[in-house]
Amino acid sequence: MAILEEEESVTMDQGGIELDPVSNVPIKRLIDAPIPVGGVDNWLKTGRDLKFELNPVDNSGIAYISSNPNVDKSKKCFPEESKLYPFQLTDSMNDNSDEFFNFLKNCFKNFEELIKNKDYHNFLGQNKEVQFGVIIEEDIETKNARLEERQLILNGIMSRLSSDLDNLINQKSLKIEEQQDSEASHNLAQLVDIMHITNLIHAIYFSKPSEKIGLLTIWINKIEIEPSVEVLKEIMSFEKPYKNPLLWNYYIKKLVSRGLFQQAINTLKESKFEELEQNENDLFLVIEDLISILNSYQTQFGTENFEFIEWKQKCCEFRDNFVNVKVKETENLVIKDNIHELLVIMTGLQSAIIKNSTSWYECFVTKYLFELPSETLISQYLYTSLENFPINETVSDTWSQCCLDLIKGNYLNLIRKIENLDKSIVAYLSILLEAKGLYGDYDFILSMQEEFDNLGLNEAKESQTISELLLNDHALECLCHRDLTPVGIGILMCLNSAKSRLIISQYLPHYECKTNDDLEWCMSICAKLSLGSTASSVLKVNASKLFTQGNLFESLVLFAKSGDLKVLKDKCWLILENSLVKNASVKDDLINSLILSDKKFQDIDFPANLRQCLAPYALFLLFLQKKNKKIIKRENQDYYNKSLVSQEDFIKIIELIENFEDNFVDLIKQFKKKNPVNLTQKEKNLIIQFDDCQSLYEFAVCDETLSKISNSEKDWRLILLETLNDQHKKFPETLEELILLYRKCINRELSYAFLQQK
Amino acid sequence: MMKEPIKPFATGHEELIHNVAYDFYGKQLATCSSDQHIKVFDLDPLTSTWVLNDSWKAHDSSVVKVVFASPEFGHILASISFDRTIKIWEEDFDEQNGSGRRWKKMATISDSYGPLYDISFAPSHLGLRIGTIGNDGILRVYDAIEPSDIRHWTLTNEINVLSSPPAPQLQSDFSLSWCPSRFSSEKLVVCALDQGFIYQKNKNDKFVLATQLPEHNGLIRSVSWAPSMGRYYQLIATGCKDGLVRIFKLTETIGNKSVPNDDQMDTSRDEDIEGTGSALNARNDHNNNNNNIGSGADNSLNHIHVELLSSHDDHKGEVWKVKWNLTGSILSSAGDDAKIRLWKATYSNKFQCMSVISAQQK
Repeated sequence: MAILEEEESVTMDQGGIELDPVSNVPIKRLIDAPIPVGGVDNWLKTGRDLKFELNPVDNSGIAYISSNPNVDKSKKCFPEESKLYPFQLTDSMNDNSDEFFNFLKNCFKNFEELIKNKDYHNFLGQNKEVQFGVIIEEDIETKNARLEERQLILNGIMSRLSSDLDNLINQKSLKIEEQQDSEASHNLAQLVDIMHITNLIHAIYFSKPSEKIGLLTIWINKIEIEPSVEVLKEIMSFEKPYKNPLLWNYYIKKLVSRGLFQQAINTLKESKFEELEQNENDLFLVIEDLISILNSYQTQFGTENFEFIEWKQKCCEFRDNFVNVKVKETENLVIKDNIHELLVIMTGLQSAIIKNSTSWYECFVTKYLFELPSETLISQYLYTSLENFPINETVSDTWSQCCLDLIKGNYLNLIRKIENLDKSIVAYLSILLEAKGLYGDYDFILSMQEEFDNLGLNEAKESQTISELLLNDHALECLCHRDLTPVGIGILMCLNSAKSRLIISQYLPHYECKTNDDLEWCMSICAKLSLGSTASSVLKVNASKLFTQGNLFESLVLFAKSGDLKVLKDKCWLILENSLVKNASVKDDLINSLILSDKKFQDIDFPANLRQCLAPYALFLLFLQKKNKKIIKRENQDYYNKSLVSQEDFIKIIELIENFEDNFVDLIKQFKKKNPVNLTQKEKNLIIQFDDCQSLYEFAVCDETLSKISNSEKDWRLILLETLNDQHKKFPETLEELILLYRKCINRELSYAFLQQK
Repeated sequence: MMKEPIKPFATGHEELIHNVAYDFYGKQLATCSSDQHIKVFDLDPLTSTWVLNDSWKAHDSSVVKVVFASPEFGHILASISFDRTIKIWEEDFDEQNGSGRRWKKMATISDSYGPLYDISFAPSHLGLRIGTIGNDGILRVYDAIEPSDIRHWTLTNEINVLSSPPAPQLQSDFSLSWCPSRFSSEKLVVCALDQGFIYQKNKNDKFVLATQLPEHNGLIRSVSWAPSMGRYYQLIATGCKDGLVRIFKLTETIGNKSVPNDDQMDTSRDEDIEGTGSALNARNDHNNNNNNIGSGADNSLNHIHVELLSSHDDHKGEVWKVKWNLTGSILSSAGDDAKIRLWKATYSNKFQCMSVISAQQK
């Protein structure tokens, strides 16, 4: 298949981010990427292919150049081709920065109470409380008060989310200024889009009526800074700024229509219009009155609309009286005319508002500010604004389309679009929408009951809402980032569903416990959710890790706690086997000192089943300590009297160990390395004896000798062959191997005897 | 701070690498190559660099795959090679790093009649178990009956996925992946040439064919079974020579329903694929094989319904590798466009490519 030549087809988005021509998503590149620009076709002709492996604990991976093992191996492999190229998966998280992670942690804290037991579902719904009997007025009042209280809770959560998002954007903007990172800029642009949407949701659905004007003003002025600082500079560059027509025909109107009353008042005061008092007193007084009426506009309008109506009446009177204003100098006519136009806007005349606006959102906010700031008229204002400033859905910004969906009530579309911007924040926004009851009839998008029935998972019977799906998804993403794992687990625990229990039970064994606290944390989760087998898995995984690290006692304690007695026995016997073979105690001071000093058992967690399994090793350790079989026999009568092994067998073991406790074979090897002149006669004799033994053994197991043995004979070699577990049933090649084998066999017998006794 | 990825590093392999494996905690990395060596690297947590743990000649032919076992069973590595053997290695912490003796060979299994292509440890809740598939078209499952004794492995299941091995002159590929869910019956997917077979265990502890993955039009290069993480259904992804990344949704119905037999499965395609082996030509007659469906119905088995959720041709060429992340929420794929593509489902369960990593310089 033809491969697209990338250098021709890569496209850039507005932020300078490279986009993949096929999927239209951002492209990242491997650091020191192995394939030269435009070299993919040639690279493919060499039979190479790209492969990767993902890290099982996070969203990182390793890419590498590979090929089918069948291909011609005569092609040279260049050093770059046997390199490994680590990479980070850009997952649904917008970025992996600390700032973003902190933001998500704050989000979880903010929403924790709402998520608990899926409280967000129908949080303000009417059917939350079922009432019986006659409904009395008091009940209704109580219910309304409770609803109001709940609405305030939601408003508070939304407000904190909005503020956290704002902080995040500020932090990231500062960082981007320092680092000039185009990818980070792209992420920031997406966050800014979400902020615009969030601000509008905040203003419309999660604010008191008295807060709406202020929030809408924040919303529109975060979308774009209008009028620009450059315009102000130009106006102020005049010696007498009030004489600059731009102040009147553009600047003040823009500020007022966007709710920036204080800025408008300040600009007017700075414009040196006071000098009009001398020659144009009427105009001076008009400007004074304008400042006064602007000052009297309260952003809290909306609680009681009659206050606004009062203000509007004053405004209308002002506008109506304006016809009497006389202007002496013609150059000041522009001031008078524009103030009049401004007053017409302020009195809420639709045509004037539309004429003055440059966008649908500006028209929308101006209408809300000056026609009547009422929640119920929002959609009407929107439709009028859109009629005059239609949105082209194919080219307009995502935030703009989302805002439109929000006002139109297309919440599913809205969520889908926000999901494309960021898959974490969308979960929290969706919770708020659901809590508010905006999803209405389509909140249960997935009824899983039937599927769970089919599976026989009765406890998993439940339905899922959009929010729960998104939240689950977000939790899963969090689990891929160690820093966010507590958030992921926290969300799942709050949801407290069968599904979230399943996820936690599957995830926890993969969580790396770096400290005891980590392990305690995992155990506490298992305990809270009654995940017995998961706890056992976690303990076993960590026990195995400690075992390979040589922390034997801690490891055995965890194995004991896991309840898997079989594994515990295996590990204890492995310890004994190693000790027997090496003829030395294991390299774990803790375990040895605990065994040798029984008093410490009281102060330390030493499970009874572990003590039992370690008994054989304890016996051996005591033996090693005493170094005297007579003492051993006497002092430890109890050990073998408890029918662990017969006394006869036990003595055999001791003798075997005694005979080789100085590591006889190693000793012989050392003697052989020495100059024979330096050897004592005893050492020379030992070498001769050993070599004789070696020769004797080799003779005993050579084919010629073996062929002479009758099968009916109870020859030690035949017994040995039967005992050998090795697939090939081959005799050990050397005497040393034979000794080792015997030790292992004895150990196996011991183990077997012990297990039988159990 | 953005977490900076570790810079590329040389492995020192003299031939191309065929596989890379992370250990359970992502702290150790094993690589294998045509140079017959396995190398293991440790992640130095202080410098975030990979440091050579050991390198050794592991096989007598190309080593095509290495995999780590769950740490529950110790520090165990398994490797397969075109020399037809499986080898089990265990790290010996008493040996020095770089000594060539750090990883001790604990077992060699040589049952395969052809080069081995894939090996995978079963999820740890199933015990210490491995599945392998090779050019002889036989799926073999081995168990360490005593997990503490990894010197002895027992062949517990042997299934002729193909009735006869593919012709040597034709390209072939084989892969397998276990169902990681502990809440579902034991299953694995085996891909042989251009067919995907899903096997599940019956009451006699034998794997039997449950169903097939439809619609592949070329050799299946890679298969990955997603961690289910609370989903009521399973997801399997395949990467195919026909240029498609496919995502299948499997829904299971418990007992009392007969497992579809061969007649019910997709056998409508009969075209061969030029220049490649086709499992349709080589496929086993399952009804004649005691290990497989046999009489066609087994009431102890779950009925599995397979549905192609989505397919994507964004790689515009052969797809070599697919892999799900830890939570089964992101699928990654690599293909002939020298790109790794990341796929994620929206809440409406539609998979979309959400980002791309290119191996080509800017």
